[in-house]
Amino acid sequence: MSDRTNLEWREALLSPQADTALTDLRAILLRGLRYALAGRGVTESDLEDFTQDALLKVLRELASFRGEARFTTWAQKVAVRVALTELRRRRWRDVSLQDLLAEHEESDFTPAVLTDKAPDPGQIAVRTMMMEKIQRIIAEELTDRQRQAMMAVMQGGMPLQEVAQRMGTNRNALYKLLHDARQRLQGRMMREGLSPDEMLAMFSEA
Amino acid sequence: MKRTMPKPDTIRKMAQMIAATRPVEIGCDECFEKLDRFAELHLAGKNAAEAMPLVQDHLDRCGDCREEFEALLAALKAEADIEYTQHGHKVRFKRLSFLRQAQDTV
Repeated sequence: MSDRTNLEWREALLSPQADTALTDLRAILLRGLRYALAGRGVTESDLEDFTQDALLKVLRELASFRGEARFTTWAQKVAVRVALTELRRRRWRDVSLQDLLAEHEESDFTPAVLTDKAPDPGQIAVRTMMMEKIQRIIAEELTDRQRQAMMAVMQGGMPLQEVAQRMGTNRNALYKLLHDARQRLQGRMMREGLSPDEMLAMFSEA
Repeated sequence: MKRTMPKPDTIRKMAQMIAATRPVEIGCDECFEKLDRFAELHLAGKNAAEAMPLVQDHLDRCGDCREEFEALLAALKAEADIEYTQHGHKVRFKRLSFLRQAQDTV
């Protein structure tokens, strides 16, 4: 049933007799989501709902399908995003950004040296100095928004989608904001005489 | 006012991410746009990372997109297996690539 070409899929879904194609596509998406979401505790009714929402989205966005992949791959990609978006929303529903960040307030800060596993005291000292430097640079270089986003993602483990929603933006824009933040920090590090390679070498074995 | 401070483990992660930052990175939208093609190349046993390096780079950095990519692969692999069962030799993806993927994830 997935032997249709991309063109045939598009024509079938746009035709007044789209029922067969819709039924076929629904079955493919449902089956795909069952595997894609295995082990995530989703119910049969969740799968049905995700498939239905995905089907509507596929039909809405049909014009944006450019045929660079198989139609069913493209549709499955849309379905996976629909489902995971909803699952992330559910998982983080009760966590506010303030609560997440408050868990990591300054009072909780553990001096880096206490948790460093390097055997060599000299190495520990250098790394501790470096960590303090990075902390200072983060505090000095980033805007509150950049710092908040970086902490929520990297320390709080919150998905970009959820941080973005709480900060009144979208995932793509948040990624760009974080990229800008990383570039800023990298620039400052380099001005302070620290090359990216040195930083990687210093922290990769930590 | 208290300010949220990164923990040592987070600083390590940040240091690695800062060091690995490149001037040109694609965002989540562009990654999503290309993800279907990328997944097909990957499943066909081709070097998707070499063919689409910016997509691979984004997937290495972005947890949301990586999660979606892995879920998509799981869905497509299941579909390819079903086609294989239905059509025998007419399988569209090379089955060996599944083994390779399994090794990648170890």
